[in-house]
Amino acid sequence: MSGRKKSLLKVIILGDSSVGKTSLMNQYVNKRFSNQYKATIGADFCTKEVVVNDRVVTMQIWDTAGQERFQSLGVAFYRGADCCVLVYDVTAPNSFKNLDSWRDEFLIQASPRDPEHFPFVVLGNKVDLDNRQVSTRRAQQWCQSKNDIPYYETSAKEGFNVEMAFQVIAKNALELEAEAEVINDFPDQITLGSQNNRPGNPDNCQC
Amino acid sequence: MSSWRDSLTSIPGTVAQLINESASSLLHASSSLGSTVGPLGSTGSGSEGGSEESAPQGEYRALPIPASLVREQWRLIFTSDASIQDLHAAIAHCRDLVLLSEELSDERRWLVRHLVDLRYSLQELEEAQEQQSLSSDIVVMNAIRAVVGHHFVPHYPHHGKRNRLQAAARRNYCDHCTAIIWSVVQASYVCSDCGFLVHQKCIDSVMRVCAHVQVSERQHPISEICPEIGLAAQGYKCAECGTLLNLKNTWIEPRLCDYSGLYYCPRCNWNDSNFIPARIIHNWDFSPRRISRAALQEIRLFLNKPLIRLEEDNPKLFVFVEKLCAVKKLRQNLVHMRHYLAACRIASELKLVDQQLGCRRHLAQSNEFYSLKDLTQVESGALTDFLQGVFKSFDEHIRSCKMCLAQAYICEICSNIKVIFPFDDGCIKCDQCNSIFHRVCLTRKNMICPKCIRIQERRLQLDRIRSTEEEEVSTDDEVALAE
Repeated sequence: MSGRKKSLLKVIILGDSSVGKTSLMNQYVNKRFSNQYKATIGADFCTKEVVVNDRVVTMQIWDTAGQERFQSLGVAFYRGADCCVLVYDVTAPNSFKNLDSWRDEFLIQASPRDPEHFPFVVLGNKVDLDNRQVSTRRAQQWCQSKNDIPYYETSAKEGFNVEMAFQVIAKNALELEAEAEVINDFPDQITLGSQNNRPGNPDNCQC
Repeated sequence: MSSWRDSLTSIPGTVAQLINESASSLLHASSSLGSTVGPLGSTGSGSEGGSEESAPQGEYRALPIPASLVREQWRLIFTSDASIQDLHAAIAHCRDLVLLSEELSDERRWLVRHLVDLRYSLQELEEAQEQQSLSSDIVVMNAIRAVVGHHFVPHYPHHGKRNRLQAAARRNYCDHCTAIIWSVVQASYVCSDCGFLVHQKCIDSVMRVCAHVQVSERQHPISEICPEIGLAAQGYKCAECGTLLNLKNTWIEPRLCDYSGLYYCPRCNWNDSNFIPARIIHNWDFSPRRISRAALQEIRLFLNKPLIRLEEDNPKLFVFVEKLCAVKKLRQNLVHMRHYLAACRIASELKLVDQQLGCRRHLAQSNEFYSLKDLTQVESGALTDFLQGVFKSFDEHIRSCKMCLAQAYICEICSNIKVIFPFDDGCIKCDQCNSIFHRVCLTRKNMICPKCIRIQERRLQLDRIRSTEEEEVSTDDEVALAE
């Protein structure tokens, strides 16, 4: 069982269009920022090596298309994710309200073993802008109601809090993996259990 | 300077009339019915007489020059001694008039055509001057000559042919006078747009408007099957050159063009045979019919253009023609695949779509449009084979590509870990939310998409929250400010 130690962490960034998902990733991985808006088509990923708990792991960050018209493709890459980052724009209240549906949709498509305790991280982006519309308190309230999701306010433009947020993301992802390792000692039991107990999916089809 | 304009100046008295003539004939050539051409290129007094005879008579010919243009003609039309400055002025004036004219009016159409002609003349003139400045000996033979929309370039039939004897043995006929072009002793021109082949001596009397101009103005091939109006309505005249037709004399017998439904003289209708677009669309009939030269050149230009919305024009065809049904399904799959390839950076680096489809990209763009070539290949079966080959190579990429596989689907009803794609057999797509499920799974759910239900529920919930929240938000903000 010692060889199971995974060194690849899969992180998915979700959120409405133009909240800054690609910018956050670019800021974190390449330390670059562009003011120009370019919609992401489909999905793409970047990798970065990080040190978490004295361990070197490769973080595979999946950036997704927020625009509905680019969501004509599937999201099979949600499967096997270790952490999900929900991003909203602090100047756009709608992007905040949609976090709920992004979270639900992710849980259904990714169908993690333990949806209740799956590690999410919420990022309120664009705090460098003046016309803020969603208050910190409101965001924190929402995060608390969803099993205490960690919440950070970032600015991809200034690079504010980005590094720190991703450190937490990596740490949380690794924790999930550690738990999974323990559970994986009884692989057969788990596969059956997770198949039967998935919420919102009462029938057990084998096709 | 092209000499049909020279001819305008040769008899100043008739100039205005000639302009009227050419304008109306140009206009009328662009009308949906006509492919007749006035004596635009006829020389001197001959055209004067001819124009009297072929002047608008029947209903389908009446398209007078717009009133405003008669007033402006002296500023638009110029003589052979016109300088570059004159042409520049005329172009500027014509452009202003285009902007002033109403959209989609006959006036604008005439003006736009005239503007194109003017620009070409200017280019000709400038090129000629350049040549002269380089060396005065060279006769300007290489310049493009623009006549009634054609862009004639010198034609060398032996050029680049490996077997010169064979090339020489192939006879070329002049599209204008129908005589053989003796390529060894006679110079000839060919239109780079429509392939109109003509003696050098005939070039200035060409009457047929370039098929390329016709195609761009008509936009779609004639959709009625042989829309015949009858010889009487044509005034017993050839629809192209205006020659009087006579049933007794085989030299001037009327020949029906099955494409345009008009009668032509034997000089303008060589009894070429070709399939007719309208007959394919309506009857799935590929049998060759006799058509005029103009129609042949036009159909050739339409051949590769994806313009035909077959399913809209004739939806029942897909029920009766099995091959068509198979092609439709294949194309639908290719459309799904193209979404993957368009989003995949590996595929775009490989230029997979370009490499496989080349200039037939429309086949995977949507499954709506067909070109005439596609339809003939559907019938011969070549298109199915071609598309199957493309499908195979696309499939190979998508199933081996990390990026494409990541964007596959997992059937959320059965949650089987095996990924599915929209183009897989036994999979079904929700039209509303684009999710993909196994057909069996969705049938078990009574064809009700679970994702659509979620989306609906969320929307309702959001509306509810919004209505109750509106008051809350204001107080919320106050509290936040207080903090």
